[in-house]
Amino acid sequence: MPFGLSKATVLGAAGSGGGSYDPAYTWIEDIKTSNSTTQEIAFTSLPSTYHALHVIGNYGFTAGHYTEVRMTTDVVNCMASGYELGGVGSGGPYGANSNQSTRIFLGGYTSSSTLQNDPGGSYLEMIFPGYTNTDEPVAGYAYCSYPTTAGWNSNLGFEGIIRADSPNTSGTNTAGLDEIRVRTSSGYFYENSKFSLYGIGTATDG
Amino acid sequence: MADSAIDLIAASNYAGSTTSLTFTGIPQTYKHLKIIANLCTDINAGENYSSQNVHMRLNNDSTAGTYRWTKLGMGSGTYADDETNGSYADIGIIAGDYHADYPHHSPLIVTLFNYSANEPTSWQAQCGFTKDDNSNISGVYLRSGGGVATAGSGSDWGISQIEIYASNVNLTSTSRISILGYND
Repeated sequence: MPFGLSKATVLGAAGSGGGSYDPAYTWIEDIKTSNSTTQEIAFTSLPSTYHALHVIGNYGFTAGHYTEVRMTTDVVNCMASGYELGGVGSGGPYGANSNQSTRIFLGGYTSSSTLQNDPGGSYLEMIFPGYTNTDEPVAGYAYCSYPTTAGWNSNLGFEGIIRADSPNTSGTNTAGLDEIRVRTSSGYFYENSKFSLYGIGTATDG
Repeated sequence: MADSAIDLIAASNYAGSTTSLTFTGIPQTYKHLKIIANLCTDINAGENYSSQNVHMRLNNDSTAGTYRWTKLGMGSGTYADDETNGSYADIGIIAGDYHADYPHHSPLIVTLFNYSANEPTSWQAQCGFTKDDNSNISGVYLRSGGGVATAGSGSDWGISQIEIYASNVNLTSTSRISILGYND
């Protein structure tokens, strides 16, 4: 189907579902850590043929760390708006607006005494609709959870909107959303941490 | 060959300089729907809104009491609200045209559960934005959920039409919606 055209009228005429529709989800790439000395994973070859990108991560830490995200090769301000919510000792919800210089922090972090020293334990999901647009800075939805119950601030999760300031109005940053990087603030991902990238729908300038 | 679990059943960009996009003829052959959208405010509108709400109307039904919803807003502060007699569904918040150098993209994700059944349909929505207001960060993320009841006449309710519209500001033609159908 040509980009930008609606299927709504087609649906009205056909009135039936089934195999004639385009596939909604397409698997693109998996990244799985083969050791416990990897601090950052990166999806650097993003296809431009989808409306949205979907990232799912299931991972552990070697100690208590933050999860950080970068959405562009430009080193720019990264913004987040949403909330943090925790369990024992941390409470919330806490409204969370932030502006970081190079990466986006996704909430709190796991304690060194609980789940992080295993595969899995933490969960990340991000969706970036309209990611191919390079005229304006694109935003995405992010959810991150740390299912541990030890210590204040150890299990704060984040849900909200994230964005990098690229391109910017001064023209010093132009890359847009051309890669997705996930890393720990320090330390490493545990071995067998896995991140998957999917494409959703069909591409458009939006 | 196994059937696809999820199909792309509709996709369209907004026309530009419009507030609304409507999908009609949605097939009743799926179990759940997921709406994934990229909404961009027209910053040249001159309306001076810092933000605006995003609404959803189902089956072109604007009868008061059809929609009941709750919402939770987060960002620099927190707030909560609910509606028990709504004529539309409040599903999100997007950047306005005030202090916006760019038509910042506001992601919207809505899941409609059991939409094709002749019974109340519930949804969950996530939407929000971040905006650089003269170098000061601002933004709001909104999570909302609620239910929509069968029309007062008791007529069949399977959802065949969905309208997503901004409450006041226009959206650019780069704004786009994809609707996915989930099979049983």
